[in-house]
Amino acid sequence: MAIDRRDFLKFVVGGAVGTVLSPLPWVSMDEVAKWTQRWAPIPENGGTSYVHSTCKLCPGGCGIRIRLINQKRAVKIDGNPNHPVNRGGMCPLGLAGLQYLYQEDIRVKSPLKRIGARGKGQWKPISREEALLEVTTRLKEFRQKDLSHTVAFLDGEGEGSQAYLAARFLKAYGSPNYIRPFQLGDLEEILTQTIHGIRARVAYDLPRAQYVLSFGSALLDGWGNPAWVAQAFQGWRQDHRQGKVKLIQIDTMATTTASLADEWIAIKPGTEGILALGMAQVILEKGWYNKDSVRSKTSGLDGLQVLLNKNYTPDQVAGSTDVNKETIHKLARDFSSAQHPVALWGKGKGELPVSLFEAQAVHLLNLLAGSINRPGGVYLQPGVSYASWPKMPLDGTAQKGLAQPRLDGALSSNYPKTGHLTGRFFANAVQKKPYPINVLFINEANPVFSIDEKEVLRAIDQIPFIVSFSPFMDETASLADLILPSPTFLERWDDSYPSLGVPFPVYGLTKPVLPPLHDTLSMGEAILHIAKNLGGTVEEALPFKNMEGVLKQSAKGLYDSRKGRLTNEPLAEKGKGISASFESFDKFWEQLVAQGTWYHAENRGEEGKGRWDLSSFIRRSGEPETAETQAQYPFWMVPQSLLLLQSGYLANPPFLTKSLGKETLIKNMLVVQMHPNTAGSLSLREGDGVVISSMKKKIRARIHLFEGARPDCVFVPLGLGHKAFDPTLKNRGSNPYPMLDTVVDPATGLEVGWATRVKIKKA
Amino acid sequence: MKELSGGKELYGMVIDLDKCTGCGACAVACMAENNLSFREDETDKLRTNTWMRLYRLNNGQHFPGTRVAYLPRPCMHCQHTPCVSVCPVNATQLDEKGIVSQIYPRCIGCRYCVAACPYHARYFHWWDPVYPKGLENYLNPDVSLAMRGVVNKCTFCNHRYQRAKDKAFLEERRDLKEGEYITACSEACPTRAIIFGNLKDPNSQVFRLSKSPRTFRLLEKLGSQPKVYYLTSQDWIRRQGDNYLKNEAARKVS
Amino acid sequence: MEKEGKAKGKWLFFWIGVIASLLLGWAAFPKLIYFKKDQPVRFSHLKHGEEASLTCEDCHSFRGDGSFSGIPDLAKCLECHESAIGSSKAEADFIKLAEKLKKENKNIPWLIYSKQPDNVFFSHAAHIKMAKLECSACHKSVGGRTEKNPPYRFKWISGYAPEVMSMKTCETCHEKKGISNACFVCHK
Repeated sequence: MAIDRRDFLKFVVGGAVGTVLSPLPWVSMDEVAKWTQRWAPIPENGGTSYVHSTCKLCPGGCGIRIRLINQKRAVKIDGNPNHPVNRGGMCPLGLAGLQYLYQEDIRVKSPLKRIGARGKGQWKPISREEALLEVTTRLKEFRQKDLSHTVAFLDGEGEGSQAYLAARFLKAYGSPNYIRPFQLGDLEEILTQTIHGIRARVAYDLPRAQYVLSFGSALLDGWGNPAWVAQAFQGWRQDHRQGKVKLIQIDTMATTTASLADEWIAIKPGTEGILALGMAQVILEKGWYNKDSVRSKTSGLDGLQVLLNKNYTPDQVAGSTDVNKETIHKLARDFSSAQHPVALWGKGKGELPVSLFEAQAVHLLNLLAGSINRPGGVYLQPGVSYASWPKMPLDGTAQKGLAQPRLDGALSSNYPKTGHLTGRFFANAVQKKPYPINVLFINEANPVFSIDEKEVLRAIDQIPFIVSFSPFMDETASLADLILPSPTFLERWDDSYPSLGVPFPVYGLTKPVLPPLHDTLSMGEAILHIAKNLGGTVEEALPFKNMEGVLKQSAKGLYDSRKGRLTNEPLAEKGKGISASFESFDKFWEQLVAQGTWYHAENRGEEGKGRWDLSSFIRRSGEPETAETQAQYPFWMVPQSLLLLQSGYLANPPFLTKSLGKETLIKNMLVVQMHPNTAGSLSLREGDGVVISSMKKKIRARIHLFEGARPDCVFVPLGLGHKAFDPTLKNRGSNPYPMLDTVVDPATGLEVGWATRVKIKKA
Repeated sequence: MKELSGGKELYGMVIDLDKCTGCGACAVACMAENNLSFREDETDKLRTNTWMRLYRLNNGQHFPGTRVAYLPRPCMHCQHTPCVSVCPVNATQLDEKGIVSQIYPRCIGCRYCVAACPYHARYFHWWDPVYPKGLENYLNPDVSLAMRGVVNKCTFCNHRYQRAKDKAFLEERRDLKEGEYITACSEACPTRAIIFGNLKDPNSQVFRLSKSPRTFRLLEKLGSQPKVYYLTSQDWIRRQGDNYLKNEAARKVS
Repeated sequence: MEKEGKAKGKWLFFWIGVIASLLLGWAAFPKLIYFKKDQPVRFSHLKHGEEASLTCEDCHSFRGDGSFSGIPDLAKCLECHESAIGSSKAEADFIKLAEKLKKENKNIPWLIYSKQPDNVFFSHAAHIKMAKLECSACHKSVGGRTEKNPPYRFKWISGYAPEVMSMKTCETCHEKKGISNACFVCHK
């Protein structure tokens, strides 16, 4: 039987009818629909557990709680509600911490040795042993040649047992060049030495303060310890305290802090110290100061009064600060008559130092108000005690090396009170003055990004061997000769001590919440290995098997003090330290590891020594601007610190960059803010491109019009313009750091800068 | 204030703008908790996906009278929902405990709800979520991910409710205690500006705060009855929360 | 003549088409859409339940936070099977595999029959503790306590096993018991 076309068509139609009557099309469709449900990634499920640790993304030392799935996958970082600093709250950076851990593209996954030219990005993965051996060989060689002092260590962590270990290693090895990039604490230490005769950090008792006067500090945008400030701020704004606590912000723009303050005093950039002295003049003249405080802590008040009456009368101050006379009077009266007043200094987050003049002028107000070591005032933070560490032997080589001057000139006769001068270190390394640097270790610092890059690059050219401990391929690590990557704070033993800006001692323990993801070794572990390889007194100085052993040694001091308590412990009876209730150190350690934090809330403030001679009050340095500069560079560029934009060693994690507003970043262009009238005078409109040039460098940006900007200023966010990291950050925006005008403060040697003269042109 | 309908559980939020410093912890905590992805360029704010969005408000005055304020904006979880009524496929729903849900497998991506929402609280997934290598490791297993072509939005961390209930059930309780179920944003807020809880529980903090004289709600005049209350002592912020005539006084919650 | 013949078989090919496609759709297709995989270990619920007289909760327990642990991890198995129980080949195989996995710090890669879709939240606590359901009410094949675990079947397009409950099953029961059927009761 022949099958014709009609038969075939009938067969097909029949097939179609049958198919429709069968489950085939319907089940298939259903299946396809279900298949689309699995287009998005599917996270692996399992049991939840929580581990307590301490955040190491800033020196704030917040207690964190990490949620793990199946004890191997970290899925969330939360605050520890029992922690005395953050009480469960978190800053956005800490919350995004897992992005540092897991993002593979930015991590260095194994020790790397450079094979191509520097900065070409050609690396060879090598084993840890090889890498450590290479470092040891070089170090041995320089020690044999009596060149131990030419080994330097730039350590941005700068606090805690790991930093103490590194400093100790360098000392035992025989080099005075353990250097820390600038942090506000350095200037605090200089300030307390000049005023109180002891080297101490200062901490502000913000939760109990009732009148807070901030001289340009980005209090709510990352100044000091963000979690601690946030805790205080929420206390001030509680219903029953409404109106009782005053926050006064002195600032050049309607920043977050200025806007949320009870009052904003608009000021000309760079004149904060003058305003403080103007207030002091009024307070002294009217006799509104705390006599006891002045009598017991100072001498030579008359001398200061002569200076103030001559140069800092309200009229004169009003002229140079743009703050009117009446406001100066009112501030002086309110500050001196307030209960628990406190004045704060440090511009922005404290990225760059202010002059000692400014710090002293503001601190003088605290002293006049009697707020030193008083509730709601400024506490001299109890020092870190590593008393429990064994004594350190020094051999002849070490002694010879340590007798050499530091390359940065810190602690020298010129700057006896300054601990670290990073800028000067790089400048002298370029000139090999007084000697060349042969080996540079870099940990948690990215000077190529955060200091004037030209100078740092020139210095790096002069240093034959650079070892980076960076977990990330940042701008500086990419120029190293050897990278010995550290694990992130979620994969290593570490600690945080003291907690930045907190008036009582807090010891935060950081422990590995998961095994290292990559072939990494923490800086401390690497140093212990190298010390062992070097042998002799260097090995003897660091008698520890591993970092856990180092931390145990530090914790021993806490246990032996028999004071304080652990975070999850109930409040101890007054006067009875809870550590005493642990029968042995091992029990104490076990609980410390489980709970993460020890603190001693009752211990506040260290007494100063001697009196401050006010008659020798530091004079304001720097030459006045010439009319020519003003004509050529008619605007101020004022850096802006944002909590959602990391401006230091850490690069912004993607979640934070995603949260930046259109007033900070558009596509890959930096956005700067200026007043609409200023823009009008330059024929600029919203979104227009501009070129901003300072005397040192120029950058391109787009403008955002903001009525709250001082008309002669342009506001530039700090933290963009990275040339490394992932595509959410790399080559986005511009880096204003190299543009900043800095001058050396003759009193401290620190390179002081903030507002910078610029000109603006339409691009 | 009109009483909200509903059973004995009705979840809501109070955000104190006097305490909010715009730090962004809520937004980041939300992204981390709810598996929100990110792309290389997130500066086009019409395309970015942020369930908890931080708005920067400005009183419009010139220097030095200018003030900014921040307004974190989650989904308002309206009790009278503009979005639910337009959904042709029942992919979104107001449930008994007051949460406006969104179910991805059911959503057809028509975006009617996105257009209907007066608060811009709904987001369309223009792309499949992509995680740079390694980052899929931190995904929260309690939250399913939205695929390309569907609408997604703040869920008041409903998965945390499910987990809290699980714990209660294990202890053979039906009711949750205050604080057992809170959203990731309110948990993370370092200034405690975001308070979350049961609006029907007269002992809860949200109940008390929602009756504060400082309260207002966004676009109250539309009658959508949001369950997110804002507190402020600044009249200019309150005025920006709704459309007012020039000389009309800003309202408190009615 | 020819025309007549044609008229007789007028709809023959049509019906051939219908029958062939019905056969394909009803008989062959449901078999074709499944892939089959064997479980990594020969396991008998019957043996564990009757000979060792274990209850479900002995192995499948709640965690402290109210979530359900589902399939026990290897450590749980090794609590009893630290060394071989009996001398069967299955037991010897299991011990060998267990030792290997323990060294690698891994669990047995069980294939879970009733693993619900990833966008669904199923609360065991609600069903066991509050609704007081028996495990076998849902886990029907296990309720029969098989001698040997059957091969794991799953649909190759969606990846779901036939034991996965459909939304309708959940809804019907909720409806009957007066429990909410709101989306966010089960979806996540």
